[in-house]
Formats: sequence, structure tokens, C-alpha cells
Amino acid sequence: MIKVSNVTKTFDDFTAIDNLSLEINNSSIYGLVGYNGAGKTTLLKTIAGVYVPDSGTVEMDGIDLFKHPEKKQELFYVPDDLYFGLASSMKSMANYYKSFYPNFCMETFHKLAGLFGLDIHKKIMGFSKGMQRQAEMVLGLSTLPKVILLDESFDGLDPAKRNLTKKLLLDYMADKECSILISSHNLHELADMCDHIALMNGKSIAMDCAVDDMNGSRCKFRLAYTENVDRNVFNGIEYKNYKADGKIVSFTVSKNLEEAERIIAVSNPVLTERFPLSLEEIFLEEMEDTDYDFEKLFS
Amino acid sequence: MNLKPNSRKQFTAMLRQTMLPSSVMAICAFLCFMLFTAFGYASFEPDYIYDTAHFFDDLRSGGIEDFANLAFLGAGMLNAVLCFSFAWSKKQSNVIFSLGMKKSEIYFARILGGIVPMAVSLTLAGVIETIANVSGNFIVNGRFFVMAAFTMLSYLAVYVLAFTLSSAVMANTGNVIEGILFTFILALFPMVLKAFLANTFWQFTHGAAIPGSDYEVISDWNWANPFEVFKNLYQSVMTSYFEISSNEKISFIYWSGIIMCAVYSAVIIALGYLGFKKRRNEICGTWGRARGMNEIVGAVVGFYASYIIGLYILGTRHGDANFLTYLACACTFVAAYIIFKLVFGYKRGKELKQSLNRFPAYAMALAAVFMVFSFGLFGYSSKLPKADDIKSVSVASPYYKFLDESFSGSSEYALKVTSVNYDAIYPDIDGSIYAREYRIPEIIYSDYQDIEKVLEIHESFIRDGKIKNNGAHSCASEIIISYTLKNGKTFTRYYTEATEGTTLKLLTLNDSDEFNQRLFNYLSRDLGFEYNQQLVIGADEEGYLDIDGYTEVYGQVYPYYEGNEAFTHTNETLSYLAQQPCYLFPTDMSQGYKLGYIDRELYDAIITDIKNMSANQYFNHSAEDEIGILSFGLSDSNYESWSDYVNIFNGIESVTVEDDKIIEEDDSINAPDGTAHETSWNINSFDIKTVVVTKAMKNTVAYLTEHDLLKHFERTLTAKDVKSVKLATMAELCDGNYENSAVYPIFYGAYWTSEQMAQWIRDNKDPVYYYRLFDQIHNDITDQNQIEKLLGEGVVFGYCASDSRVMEITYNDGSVATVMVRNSK
Repeated sequence: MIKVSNVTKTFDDFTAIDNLSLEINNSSIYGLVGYNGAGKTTLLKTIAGVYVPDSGTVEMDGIDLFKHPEKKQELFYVPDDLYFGLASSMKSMANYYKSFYPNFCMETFHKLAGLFGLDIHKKIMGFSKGMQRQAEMVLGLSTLPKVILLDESFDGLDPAKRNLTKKLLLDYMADKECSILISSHNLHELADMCDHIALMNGKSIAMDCAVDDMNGSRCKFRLAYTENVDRNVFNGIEYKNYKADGKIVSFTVSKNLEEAERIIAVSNPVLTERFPLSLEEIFLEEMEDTDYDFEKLFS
Repeated sequence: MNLKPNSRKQFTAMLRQTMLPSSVMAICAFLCFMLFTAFGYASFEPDYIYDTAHFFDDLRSGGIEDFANLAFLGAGMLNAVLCFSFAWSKKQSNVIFSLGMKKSEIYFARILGGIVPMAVSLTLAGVIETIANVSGNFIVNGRFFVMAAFTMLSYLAVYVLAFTLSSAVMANTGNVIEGILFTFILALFPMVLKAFLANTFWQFTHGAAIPGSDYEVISDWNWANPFEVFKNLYQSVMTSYFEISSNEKISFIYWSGIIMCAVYSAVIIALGYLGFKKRRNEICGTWGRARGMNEIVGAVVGFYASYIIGLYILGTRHGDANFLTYLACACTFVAAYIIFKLVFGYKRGKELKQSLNRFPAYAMALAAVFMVFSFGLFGYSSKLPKADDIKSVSVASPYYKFLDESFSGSSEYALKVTSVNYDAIYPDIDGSIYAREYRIPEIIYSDYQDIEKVLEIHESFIRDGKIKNNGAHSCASEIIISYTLKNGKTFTRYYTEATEGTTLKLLTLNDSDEFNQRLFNYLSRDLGFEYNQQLVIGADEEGYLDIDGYTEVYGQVYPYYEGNEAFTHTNETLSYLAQQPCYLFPTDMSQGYKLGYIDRELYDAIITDIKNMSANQYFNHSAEDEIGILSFGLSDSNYESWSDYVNIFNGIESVTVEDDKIIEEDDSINAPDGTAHETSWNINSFDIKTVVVTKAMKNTVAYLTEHDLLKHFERTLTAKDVKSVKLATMAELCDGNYENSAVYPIFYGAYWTSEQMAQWIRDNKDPVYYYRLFDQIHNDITDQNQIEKLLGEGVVFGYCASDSRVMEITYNDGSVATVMVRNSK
């Protein structure tokens, strides 16, 4: 289990993470989403010990990682920028990691490499970007970590390898009861595999909930009326993304769904449709504050 | 660093990972050594094989020691780049810092990984070289192994120091350029610091030694500067030290270079680690974000600039630095610091703003350093040993310059103006000396009364305090007073200037047996008379030779010595001795008279008189006291080559500035602009001794009277023969005509014939060396009455007080004489 408590990280004058807390349970895949520069990579690097926070703690199974860095031998961080030694092969990198990760399993390494169809004797520099990601994933999983941190690790993978990787991670998580923290912009992917999602919206976490809860707690309403309806009839509903197209009205609601349904019923629509929100819609909903005025951009 | 089992495994893994790249350099070093060993072994001549003085030369130097040291410095730096390049790479940092290792483990594994392969390589090379020596039948004894260990350890020490310094810097910077550049900047620090302290010490502290001199206190700490020690070892000491048969004791100083390298390396490793521990990994690959290192290097760059531009160039180089020097240092510090921040800063505006807060701290630190030195360096300037504790004291003074037997230049006792331009010696930018053109003779006093006298004079120096080199009120000199205490320690103070009062006191030291002995040594040098006074003046006749064939000419001739062994004169040496002529001149130098060869009776009379003269009579006699000039010691061989253009001696008897010697107007003095550095009486080109005969020299005068020789001292030139005269202070005649220049206060007269001057111009084509000392002076006096009065006051030798003037006399025929006029402000 990973527990991040009140972590703040600044770069000179810029605060990348401000008093952030989160918890990732065992047997859990935690998705981290957020716009560019929201602090996802900073958070991952802070958990991995690459960055030292200005304040706050990062614990793994109740042990402070900065006081006891040796605990990180059970943690593997797959960064966005991969590093392989000059002229090194997967085999040599496996030996490298083996000497630093006591749980490194050569048998697993060979199996996984075979599964991905990677030549372990070939120079990694000769691999494509996607293959390099696969190689790093193979090396990381071979260390049999209790915590895996993945930073945009699906980028560059073809759909087949993407599915394979997802499946591997799910299996590994189920088998080892490990915690996986994935940051990604690919919301569909996260929705498919994560059981928990956190949305970073500038320095802190704007939303943090289980995917199942998310599906039930947020929805989109589409209503049809016999005549044009005044927006005020929906007073009392905390809605977002309100759109009115003649007699058709739509909006999203994330809080007090029962109260919303009661008010809608009072407005007497001829047709009421209720849809669960996709992760992408939730992301956009959270991001709706950012208004882009395209008209003036090229004027 | 308490490693748990897993941590130990990780540490070992990191060490192994680091040793791989650094082994490349170690293997290269090993192969180079093997190459030298092989070549050295193959090229041994049979005789050379047993020349044990050259053991390990192929490894230690083989003529490549400078290159080898540079190579090890370079190797250390390059390996540091290899071992700590992860600190500049975001990608590598992501991996390294997420491995589950403490920063201390990472840092020390990398340090060890860089050192161990080279240590192994050098050990192996040393072992193989030892085997080669054994198989080559060289002597292998205890000293050999010490020597072998020293050789390999010294190389390792250089490598380790370079590696640890570079590592410490590179582990705490953001990119390779910063890493390498900052390493170079910080590597210079010990040398610049030494030069800075030495110069500060000299310029601000009264009684401090000039940087680079034998008496420099800073030099006493050279053992703490590994670069200095290695420099010394490799340049000189090592040669004798490495003679395997030498009995020279292996003292601490030989090992101090290695020891201090190890100590500094350890300190640097610790400092590097402290920085690395606090290092923010987000600076990887960035520019100017390593704030701590940036601040340190910025301050160091400012310090360098303040030293080079402020203290060294803008600050006075005459040992009298003041507040302006401090201001120059502080300003150059700030300027260099700001420029550094502008170039290497991350957020320049913000950093400069923050820097403003630091300037006062830096300025105060600099001021504190200067103040400590200015206010006597914790009593250094005013401290004196007690007379009872002193075994002996040596006083080295330029006033004794003419007494230095080993001084290879001309004889200053001869008439000469040369030292009007007293060449002050300056510390160079690296703390060494340049423009030091002569040695300063020293006289050692061990008599209690003399010691007390020296202490009294020394107190006078202390009372005078730090004074400026100023021809108006003080006399520039170079006086070293060094006490040898009864407890074996030495106590030395060094003065580059003295007030006139102190100078006059100092001259009274000449009233001593030690001075007379040195004077005797000087006067008897190269005359065949031995330096041993007892042999010549004492009653001991043993060793005198019966040389009937020569005594008629010579009076007495003595055996000559080489070391302590007496040799009898062969005909050849006797012939040489018999050819030492003696000349008499009047004080107007108008004519020369060859007396013949130096007569023992005359010689003894001169020695006795000079011995009996007080310092006051010697240096401060009046024009009326001066009777004439007596010169001896010029051999015929010198005379012949010299006589080509020194007409005054040509033909001898009474040759003066004759009409037929006057050169045509076109050929006469036509000196181009420039500054005269030296004007010399040409007789000084040879080792002759010239004595100004005064009324106080009663024995000499009696001899000259008895032999009817005083008539040759009769002055013949009058004001009518003089075209004009000029007057100037010694300072005005100095290089560049600076009134405040350092001046050497002992005056020697000079005389050049117009032909000599023309000849010199023709021969040398160099405006620096011909006679034009007064070119910058335009106060020609042509009034006959005034000239006549001044001629009567002119002296040819003596102490030139601040109220004295040097007078140039230009005769109608174009010849020029230079004399001194006292009390003529």
C-alpha cells in the first residue's frame, strides 16, 4: 500500500504539488489523470524517490520511503523517459536490475520477454519506441514489485501489445496483490483497467474516487419538452455542461442525483433519458472552467 | 553508512557498475606504465643497470613526470565525468534514485568505483616494475620499496585528488559544461589562495616577506599545498631523494604531498557528499540551478578577479596597499560576481537581487582579511625576540651588495650610478618573483652587543610602521633581519622600505668586525690574496712562498686556496697575480695614472683604513674629505679588451679627455627618447675594486704621500671646462621619473667620455642602456659661479640623503660625469 500524505513539491517559485494526499491500496490499480503540467509525473517521481518533497511523507506499507529507501527495492518506477545503458541488451539490463532488486526473477523475465516476442540479446537501442516500452515493462515486472509506478507507459504501444500489457498488469495485480499507479492521458484505457481514478487539476487532486462509484454518482440527462423551457426551472440542480437546443435540453449532474431527478420530474418533460458519464466526459467536466476563445485566436 | 544485507548487495552492485567504465582509464594507465617499463628495461646499458639512482625512473618520470601528472589529473577528471554523469541525465537519475539506495551509498559507491581500479592498476604496475628491477639485478632494499611505494602513491594521490574534486563538483552541478568548468575554477583555488595570502601579507603587513622569497611565511605552509609539494618534489628534491644509496632522511615533507592529497581528498569527498545529500535531482540537465555550487563558484570567481585585478594590478605593487586597494578588490569582486551570475544564473534578475544581500557579507569578509593583515596580523608586525634568546642575527641589506663574493655583476664599490634605478622586486601574479636581478648579501652578527644594536634598529623599523616607497622621505631597500634563536627556531622580518633615520642607523652596523671581514674578503677577491684574513693580515706566515722572481714586483705573494686545500702558485698564476694594475684618479676623473701593480703595503694600508673608518666617515664624508680614487684589480687581459673604448686608460700615464679623442659632433650623443635604466662607469664591467680615498684613510694617505703619488689626485677641471650641469633627486632619475619611485640610497659617481658614449650607442643600439639618465631633466645650469660652487661640493661616493641631489656635469668636449651634491635642496 502506498500512502502519500500532504506532499508539497516546488521547483523554485513554481509549486508543482501542493499539500497532496492519496492512498493506493493493495490489489488496486490507480489511475492518475490530469492535463499537461498538472503534476502527475512530479507525483510519480516523488513517490519513486527521484524528487524529494518539500514537505509531507510517502509511505509504503507504513514505512517512510525517504527514511528507509531500501523499501524501494519492492517498488519499480517506469518513467516516461526510458533509460538503458549504452549498447545494453535486455539481458544485460536484466542483470543490472537483478543486482539492485533482490526479488528479480530471471524465469519471469524470460517468460515475459518471450510473451512480448523480444530478443533479449539484441541491443535495446535498436528497438522501436514501443518495443523499448515493452522491454522496460518486462524488466519492471521481473523485479516482482509490490508497487509499480507507470508514467505514460502505454504510449507507443500497438493495440495488441497494449491489451497484452493491460492483461499482464491485471493478472500481476491479482496474483501479487500489488498496487499499481498509472498516469495516462488515455482515459479509455484507464477506465478499462483502473479500479480507482484520481484527477489532478493543478497542484492537487480535484477528484479521487472508485470507478464503480464514479459510474453511479455522475450522469448526463437529456430531456425533451413540448415547448421551450426556461433554464430557471432547473434551479436547485448542480448541473454542468448545460445545453438547450429548442425543446431539447441536456446537462450533467455529479451531485444529489435524487434531488435532480425530482426537480426534473416537476418540470414535466415528455422524455427523460439518463446516461452514465464516460471517464473522458468526467475529465472534460472537471476541466470545463478552461474556456478557449478560438474566435479571437486568428483574428 | 551501516549497510543492511540487501543494501550491501546494492552497494556492491553500484560499485561494480561504476568500476566498469573507470577501469578503461586504469587499464590505459597500466598499459602505459608497462610500456615504459618494457622500454626502460630493454634500453638499460650495462653500466646503467647498476646505476641505482635511476630506479623507477621509467615509472616515476622517464622524463615524463610533468606529462604523467597532467595525465593523471586529466584521468581523474575524465573518470569523474564517467562516474557522475548520471547527475546530469534525467533519464539516468530516474533509474538511479528509484533503486532503493541511500544517497550516501550511491555517492560512495561511485567514488570508490572511480578510485579502486586505478589503485589496482598502479599497484600491479608497481609490482611488475619491482619484479623487473629484481630480475635486472638492480639493488632492491628497504629504501627501494619506500621509493616504489612513494612513486605509485604519489601518482595515485594526484589522480584521487583530481577525481574527488571533479566528482564533488560534478555530483552537484546540472550539466557537463558546468561540471568541467567549475572543476577547473575550483582546482585553481589553492594556488590563487596562496598567492592572494602571500600578496596580502606582503602588501598589508609591516615586516612581511615578499611572496615567493625564501623568507615568505606563506611558503612555510607549502607542505599543506599538495600542488606546491609535488612541484618541489618533482623539480628538485625528488632527484636526490630517489637515489637509493642516499642517506638522506625521509622526512615528513617528502610524504606531505601524498598525505595532504589524501586529507584534501577526504575533505572534498565529505563536502561533496554533503552537497549531494541536499542536491535536488530536478536540476539534472539544467543550467544554473545548482544554487549552492553556483554561489560557491561565483564567490570564488569574484575572489580570483579581486586578487588579479584588484590586489595585483590595481593595487600598488610596492608593498604599501591601502584602502584604495581594498576598494579595488571589493569592486572587482562584485563586478566578476555579477558577470558570473549573469552568465551562469538560472533566473538572473532574481539571483542578482538575492546577490545584493550577500555583497555586504563578502565585502566584510574581504575587509576582515585585509584588516587582520593591516593591523599587524595578531602582533606579527611588532613582535621581537629577546636579546637573551638570540643566538645570532643575519642582516641582509642592499647596502652590502658590493660585499657579495658570489655576485657576478660589476663591482658596486667602483664608481657607478647604476643603482639610482633601484629595481624593486615585485611578486608575480602566481606569487613568484620577477625582476630580482641580484642577491642580497647578508652579514651574520653573533656578538651580544651587535645583536642588541640590531634589535634597536629593528625597533626603529617597527616604530616607522608601514611607509610608502617614497623618494622624498624614505629609502627603498630590501632588508631582511633574520634571528636564529637559541632554541633552534628562526624569526625573520622583511622590509622593503625604511625611513632615512632608520637607514642611517642601519648603516652603523658597518662598524663591526663582521662587516670588515666581508669588506676584506671583497677587496682581496681575485687578487691572489686569500679570503682568510689571518693568512694575510695576521702574524701567521705559514704557507707563504719564496718566489724570488716575483717578490720584487709584488712584495709578497700568497698561496691560493681551493676549498680548504692550499696550492702553490705556478708561474702561470703568479704571472696573473703580477698583472694586477693599480690606477689613481682625481675626483673630477679628468685623468688616470697607472701606478703599476698593487703593492702589498698600499693594499694593507687601504684595508686597515677602511677597517678603522666609522660608517659615518665611510658613507657621509664631505666633498672636502674626498682626496681621490684608487682602483685596482684590473687584469691585463681585461684591460686589453676594455681599452678598445675606454680611452681614459689607454696608454696610461696621463691620458685625459684629449682633443684628438673628441668625436665629431655628428657622432656625439644623440640619444633617442626613452628611459635610462642604468648608466655605468665602464670599468665596472670587470672585477676591479675601487676605493674613494678620504682624509680619514690616514695610512693610505701616508703611503701616497711617501711615494709622492698625491699629485695624481689633483683636480684639473674647472668651471670653465664645464658646459652645463643638471640637478635631480635620485627618485627623479628612476625608471619613468616617478618621484615616488623606490630609490637605492647609496650613490656611486660615474664618468663617460664622449667617445665612450658614442661607442656605446654604436655598439648597442639600445636606448635603455646608454647614458641618458638626465634626459628628462631640463634644469640646465650654465652660470659659471654656480657651477664652480657646485663642482666644489660634488662627491663621488656616499649616502644620498633625501636632501642630496645627483648632479650631471657636461663638459665642453661632450663627456659627462655624475656626482652627488649634499644639502642642496
